[in-house]
Amino acid sequence: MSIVLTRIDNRLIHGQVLESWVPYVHANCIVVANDSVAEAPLKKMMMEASVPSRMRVEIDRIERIIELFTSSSLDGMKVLLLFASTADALRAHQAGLHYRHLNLGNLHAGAGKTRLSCTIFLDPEDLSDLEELEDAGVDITARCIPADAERPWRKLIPKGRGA
Amino acid sequence: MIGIVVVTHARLAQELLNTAEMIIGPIPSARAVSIDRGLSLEVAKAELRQAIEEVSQSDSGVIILTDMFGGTPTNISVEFLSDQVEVLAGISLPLLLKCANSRAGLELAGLAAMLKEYARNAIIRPAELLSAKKS
Repeated sequence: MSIVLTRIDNRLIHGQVLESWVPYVHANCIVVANDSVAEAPLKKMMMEASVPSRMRVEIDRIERIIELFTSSSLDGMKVLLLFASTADALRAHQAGLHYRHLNLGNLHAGAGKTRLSCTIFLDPEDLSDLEELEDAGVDITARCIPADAERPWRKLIPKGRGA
Repeated sequence: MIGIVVVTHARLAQELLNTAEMIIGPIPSARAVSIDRGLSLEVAKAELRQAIEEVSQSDSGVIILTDMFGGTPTNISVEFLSDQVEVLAGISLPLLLKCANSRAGLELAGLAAMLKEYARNAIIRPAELLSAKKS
């Protein structure tokens, strides 16, 4: 099994992922590590149904996804791994899911979040989550779709601010 | 009358409605909702909820036409599925025109089922028409 893309995208499986990232990284398996979708049958079913049938799709709670990665179930797969938030990405990494690169895709606006790019809004907790991941050796870059330029995440942060 | 909400990426929804109105004139009880790259899901859902309320008349229901199954516009639309709300993914101009012209006198589920079949058959490859004529 190889992880061809690890991405934080609060929309999880959607158009940009299916139509742009999947062909770009040649993924044949999409894994969604998300507790709330895992427990919402309609949402989960719609997401599974949107993935082309030639691809494998796994949507489950973060803990279950970590078990999946440590089993041999994904052998030979080219995996596109999705998290909805920095907190989930950090939780998974700390629990042993050791991805080496992290793509910041869509982290949209919310209370207390500062806009760093058109699709990336972070609050101080997000910043410290990302710092912690970086300290653990994860290479973090921002890129919404493959056609966008890839930027190191720290370049997004205005000087004199956090992180 | 059944209300229509068109939900798409970028400004396709507005332009599809504009284009349809250019062809058949004003389409009452219809709204366009665009999901832009920078929009949060909460804001997008609130805009969609408002659009659905605006086109809801009595209890005839609302049909939401979205651009692509699996995309965010469809993903947020299915959260509104109910007896009063249908969703069809894969909008085209023929589909929107047919919907606007045939919704009177139909009930919601019947309209959605009819439009699904209609839109499938509305994709035409002219070269096939030509070769069928020759043979």
